[in-house]
Amino acid sequence: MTRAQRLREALTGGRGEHWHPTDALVRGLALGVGLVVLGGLLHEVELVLFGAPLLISTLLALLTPVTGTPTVKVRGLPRTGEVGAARSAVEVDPGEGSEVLAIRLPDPVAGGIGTVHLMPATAREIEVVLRRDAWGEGVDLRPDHLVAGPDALFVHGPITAVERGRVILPPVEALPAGLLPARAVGLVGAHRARRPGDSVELRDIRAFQPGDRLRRIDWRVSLRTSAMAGTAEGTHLHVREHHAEADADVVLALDTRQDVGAELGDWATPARATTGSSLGRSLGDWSLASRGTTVRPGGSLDVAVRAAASLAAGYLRQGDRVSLVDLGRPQLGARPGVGRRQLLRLRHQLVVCARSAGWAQRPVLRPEQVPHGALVVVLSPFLDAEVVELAVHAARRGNVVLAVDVLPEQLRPDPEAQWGVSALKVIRLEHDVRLEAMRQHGVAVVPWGAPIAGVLRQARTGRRLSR
Amino acid sequence: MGGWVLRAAIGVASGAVAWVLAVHGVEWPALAMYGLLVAAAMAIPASAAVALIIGYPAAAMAFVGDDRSWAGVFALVVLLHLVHVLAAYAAVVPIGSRVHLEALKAPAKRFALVQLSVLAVAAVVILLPGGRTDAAVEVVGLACAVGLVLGAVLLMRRKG
Repeated sequence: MTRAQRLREALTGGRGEHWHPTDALVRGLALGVGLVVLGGLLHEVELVLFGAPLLISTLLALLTPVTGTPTVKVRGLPRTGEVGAARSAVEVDPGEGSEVLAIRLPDPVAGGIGTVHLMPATAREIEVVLRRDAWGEGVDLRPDHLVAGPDALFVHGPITAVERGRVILPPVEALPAGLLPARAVGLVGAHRARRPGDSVELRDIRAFQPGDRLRRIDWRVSLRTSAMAGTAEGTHLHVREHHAEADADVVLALDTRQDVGAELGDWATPARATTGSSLGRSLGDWSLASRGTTVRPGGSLDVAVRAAASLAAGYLRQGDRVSLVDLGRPQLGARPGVGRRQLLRLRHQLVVCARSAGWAQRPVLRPEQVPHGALVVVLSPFLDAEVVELAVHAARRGNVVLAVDVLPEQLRPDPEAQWGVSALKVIRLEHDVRLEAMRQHGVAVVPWGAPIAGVLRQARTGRRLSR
Repeated sequence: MGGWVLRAAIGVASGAVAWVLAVHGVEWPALAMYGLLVAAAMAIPASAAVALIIGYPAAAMAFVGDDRSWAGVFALVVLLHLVHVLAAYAAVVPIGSRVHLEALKAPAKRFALVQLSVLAVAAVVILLPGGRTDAAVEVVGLACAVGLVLGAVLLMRRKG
């Protein structure tokens, strides 16, 4: 064995990765032989009878050969998945002479890496159901195992297996009717560009210019203007100009700097809270899987990510180009794209953004990240002025900005804080002031779940009037 | 079936052992100490407490009291072996594990086989007339015991 192999074995190999006797073997042998010999010496037949079963069962176990190296392999585990249940299989080769197998299998109801199952070593393939009810990264399967011979006098293991996980993509929720602007005039969705083109939608009627196509001439208007001028010469010809059709750009700006839930008392605690009680767990239960999702379930970031995935799916279905910007970590965005692969890419990137979520000094939305004329959807709880300034600046640059408020509606004060109720009122008031300030600057503000189309139209009208 | 059932079964079997001992005149301080050992064995089935809760009743039954009760002896033959097997399996699974009954089918069959053979021998012992054994037979018996030990050691070396 080379030095590298020895080092690898020392680092990765558990102390139980070979067949070794247990204390039950020592006990059976010592007590069995001891009681039988002592009974013979002292002429106490009871001692012989007490020791005989222990000795006989130990000898039977010793006579049964336990050889080979038990192996456990996981088959058919995809790298990504959707929320819910999935199936996989664990292949077991228990070796020769094995009688029982203790293996950790995932819980099909509660999810997680599950508990240890003691089953006969005749099982060759075990079908397992993996269940995850939260999106994000996590460990689904860790088949820790131990194989035992007769009466568990010789065991192979316990072996801590490699953790096998999946990335559960944020779910795409079917948006209720009216949430997406089905045909938002001048904004997105209908894709009517400002420049002239070949669509059927009328843009203007203007005087004929050299280069205009003859079939564009509006004869009715031309004759009327000629009649008014008293001549039928071509200088009074008019042409109908139509709008061009173009793809719309949608920028989903995700504020990952804050992840807050409905309980104000929990805002100061880390979002990566463990699920369930930590008491009474064995060391084997401590795993990434026990942490569940990396964001606060039902919190602002969870809602924002789900909203981003659903909006992306809706706009991509309309044929728009959708990109993603992480306001806290600008390097984690996704470039604009179209189609189903872009939706998959965006959902993956949302998981990456949520994994890296945390405090950042200020939100960043660079002008080069926002195409001209794009709809900017800012998903944030709007708990600070910086993100409001960012939305207003984007609106001033000429973009239509939609601010989706993901702050939980029913905030509850910290019961342990003396000024909990007052603090909640201040937070509420400041939040309302921020939303109102955005509205006054032409930013469409909606809580997640409210119809978007009407609000966008109002915001567009308001901006025209303010100009 | 939860993994705690194996540990509870150790407790139940040991409780029965304690009851047999109490019937045969073992004093309560010794039984209280025995109860502590049973609790330790239930908590840590891979500990030396299991050897003590098997060894102590055997010695107490042989040396406490003058009158021999074969019913008590037979009960302890079964119970002590049961405690040994239960502790062996309880030691390889965590308390929160799930035990499939099929896994215990082969051990149960072997347990029954061993017990039948030992109880058959015990029945023969009861039927045999009592009395002083010849010295030559005792020497042969001791030689057999030493042979068993040597055989077991050789088997262990071959496996190790």
